[in-house]
Amino acid sequence: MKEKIEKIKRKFNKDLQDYIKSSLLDSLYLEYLGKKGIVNNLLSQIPNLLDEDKKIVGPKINELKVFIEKEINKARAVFEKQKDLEWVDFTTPGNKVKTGHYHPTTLIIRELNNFFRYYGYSVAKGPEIETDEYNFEKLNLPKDHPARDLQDSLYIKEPDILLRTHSSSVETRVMTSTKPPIRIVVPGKCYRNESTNKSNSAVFYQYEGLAIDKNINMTNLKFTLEEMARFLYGKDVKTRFRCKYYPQVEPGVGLDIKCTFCEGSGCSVCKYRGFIELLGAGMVHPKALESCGINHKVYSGFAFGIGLDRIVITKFNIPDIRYLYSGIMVYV
Amino acid sequence: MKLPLIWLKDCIDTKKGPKEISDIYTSIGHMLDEPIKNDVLSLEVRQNRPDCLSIIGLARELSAVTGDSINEPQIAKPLKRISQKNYLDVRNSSKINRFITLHIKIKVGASPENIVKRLELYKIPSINNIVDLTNFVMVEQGQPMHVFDISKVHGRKLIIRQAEVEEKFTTLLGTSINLNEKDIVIADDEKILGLAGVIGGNSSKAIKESAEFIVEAANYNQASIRQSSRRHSIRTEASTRLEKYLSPKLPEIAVQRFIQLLYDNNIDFEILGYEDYSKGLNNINIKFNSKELKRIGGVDIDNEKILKILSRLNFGTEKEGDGLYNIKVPYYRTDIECEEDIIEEILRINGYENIPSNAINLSPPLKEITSKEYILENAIRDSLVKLGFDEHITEPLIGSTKNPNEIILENPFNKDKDALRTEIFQTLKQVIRTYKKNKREDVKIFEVGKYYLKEKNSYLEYSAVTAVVEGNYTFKDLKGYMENLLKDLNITRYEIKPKGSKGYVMQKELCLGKIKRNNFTLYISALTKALKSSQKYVETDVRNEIIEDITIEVPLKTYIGPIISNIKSISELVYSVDLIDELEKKYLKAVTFRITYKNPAKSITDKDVSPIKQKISRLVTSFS
Repeated sequence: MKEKIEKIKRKFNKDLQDYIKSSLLDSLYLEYLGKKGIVNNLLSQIPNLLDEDKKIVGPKINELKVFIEKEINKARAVFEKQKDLEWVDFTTPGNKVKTGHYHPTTLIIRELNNFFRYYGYSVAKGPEIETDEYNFEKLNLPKDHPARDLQDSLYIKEPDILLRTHSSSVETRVMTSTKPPIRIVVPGKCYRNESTNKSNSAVFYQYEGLAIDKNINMTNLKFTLEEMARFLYGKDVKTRFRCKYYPQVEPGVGLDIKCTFCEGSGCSVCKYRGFIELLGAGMVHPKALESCGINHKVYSGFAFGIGLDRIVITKFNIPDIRYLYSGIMVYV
Repeated sequence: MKLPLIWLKDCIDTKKGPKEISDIYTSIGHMLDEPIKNDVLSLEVRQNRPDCLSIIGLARELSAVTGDSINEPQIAKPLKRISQKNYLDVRNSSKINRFITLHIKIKVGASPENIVKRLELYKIPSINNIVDLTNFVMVEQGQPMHVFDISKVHGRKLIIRQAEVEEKFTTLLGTSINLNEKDIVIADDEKILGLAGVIGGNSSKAIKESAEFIVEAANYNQASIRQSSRRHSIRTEASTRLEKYLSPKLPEIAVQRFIQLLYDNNIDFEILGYEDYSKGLNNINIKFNSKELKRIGGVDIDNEKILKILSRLNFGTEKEGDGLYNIKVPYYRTDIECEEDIIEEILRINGYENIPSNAINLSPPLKEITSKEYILENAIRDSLVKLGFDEHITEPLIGSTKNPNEIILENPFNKDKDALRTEIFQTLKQVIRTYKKNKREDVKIFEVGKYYLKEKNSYLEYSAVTAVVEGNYTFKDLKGYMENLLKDLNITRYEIKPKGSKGYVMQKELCLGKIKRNNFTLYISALTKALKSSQKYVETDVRNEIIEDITIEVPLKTYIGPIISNIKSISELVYSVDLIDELEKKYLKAVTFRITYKNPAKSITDKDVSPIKQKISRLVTSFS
């Protein structure tokens, strides 16, 4: 009889695994613990046993009954839980996750840095508090030059110390301290003496580029600017390369892109010009090269400067320039 | 510059239409900046080309491209000094390059119709024949002129002098302005008649029947005119021209043209006097080598074409060798100073669109010179964004806080922005307010930027990162973020030295930054010094650790940091000490540390640990 009980227990354990797989725990219960089940069957055999065997077998059967009941309940609980787990509301909205964000200007700077690093440019930095010498004098902007009025500088100590009015001041620093060949880009804050309004900000970002070597000429400048415009605005962008005056370069260049809103027919975005001014550029002025100690008969180079903020607000659809640096931007 | 095409065509025979003409101007440097209306172009003339603030100047530019022939306006014969009496007294010669006076007798009347029509196109109202003719000459030739009614000039003499400090002057528009010694004025012996190069006064207004005039055409130090115009916020047709470098030859051309127009329009006149103050004129010659055109421009243009372009621009050329020329610059081209200027002239008339586009020869690659600081700043941005912070960039300008180390601006545009921030946190406050206004409870922001300090007589700027938390976050969250950031940068050995309302982040003697209740700042240059080589992978095997929790009670305001570093310093086998619980009671707080013992080299046993445990328990009792 004892062996029989052990045998039943082993069979139950095996059956339990099978029934769990086929999720028929109720049938398993009936088979073992039902009125006509295996355990009752065993109990019904007790009267036929010897008295001394009854004392041993009785509790054993009971133990078996409790064991089976417990195992089935346990399996049932697991099974129920699993059934719950399998049901997922895939349509429910996700929890809010607090993630970080880069400033849009940082993102554009990084894009441009990546572009220029591919062409072998390093990223250069320089002070924002500048001297007249590096900000103006060495860039062929002598005192009394009209461009100095245009710049509308913020002075810390007139006339020698000011907040840089353009990132070109880093060019003069690099040209003075580094022997050609030079290839750098300069992303950086610049300042103008003007209250921040819808389209101009006292603090603005420029992205400057400079390449100096033997035999660098305007065809290289054109290639670089066109490639950059394609990188920023896609390969179908139409550019216009025209003559423009900047004191620190000669010959000077203005690069425009065909207005993407009106396709060049004229609209309010492009002020009915059909084109949007993207940047100023040119061949570094021989006086600027010489004032930084570079022989202009041996070396030549080009420079360009982009106002980054306009690019940033158009790319990210930001309503106006004040959102960028006035602390009124919230990321969503 | 407004350019009425009818007027342009008085000076050039061209069959080109408005669109074609404006495209040419845009390409050669004078961009069309408004839509074309009624056949009037509005051009943004190149800053260094004041000669193009005139019809004839723009006609010459167009002709250089198209080859269309110019109808040079006729001018009368040059005049010699004629004067019975001295009408001109130039007292401030340093700022005057040229001053011509024409003393003339004339019958004032209505202007000829063709003159009125031309001026109308330019939106200058007609006044009378003499004033209109000077305005006509200004627009056509680019030289401002001025008429003085001699009966109103006391002493019948024009005195050109600097103004006195606080000298008052009422313009013809009726505004009264305070002059100073930087202004140049045209005066008689008792009053000011005009602010030189900028605007006339009341006494020059309303010329009616009078018969004798002084007509003036001058050239001044352009910076002085520019500054006067800006100082008094007066911009006129005269000042926009005279604030730039116009040729000092132009006044004589203008006067000759004025006289010619009197003849042409059958106006009766008699010249009574002509005086000319002049510092002399420079003729500019430049050596040009066509090889330089190839070197700088990168284009092949043959010598024949080069000569054709230069001749269309009225540049004289003398051949001095193969491709070598001596270039004579026409008087009105004050912008041409060096060989590169000639190169630009050839390229722009040949067309910038004809410049090919070529990559730079990239070999050999250049040495990378991007600074460590720049790379580190980007690593900081990456780490903080990963930790859920929003990056902000704020204008570093603040209203002065009277901090003696603050850098003050000498010419602020706004009193609320007259100084540079001494801490990045100062300008991040606005961002916090914005987040709160938007009901954001999860303020986690940072800026990588600069702060500025005045130290003795130097003005210094430093790069740093400041991160701020507000709303749902506690100090411990902030501290955790800072620790994570430093870990990302692979800076691990540092301790916090508390002092007052902040704690300094120290690596031995090097101060890496500071932490406050809701923000921390780390200094870029200190961080670059603390940087080690790249992070190493650390094997974590929990089976080989012994962990023990100990709880001690310490007074409420006890710094926990030093306790932890003391425990750590007891043995190298103390792998980590974490604060896992902190319970504040009335006077004491119960703090629970979880101490992990580990030996990277071999497995660790209770026998190794028990002497350390004893030391630790002696140590912690000293704190409680």
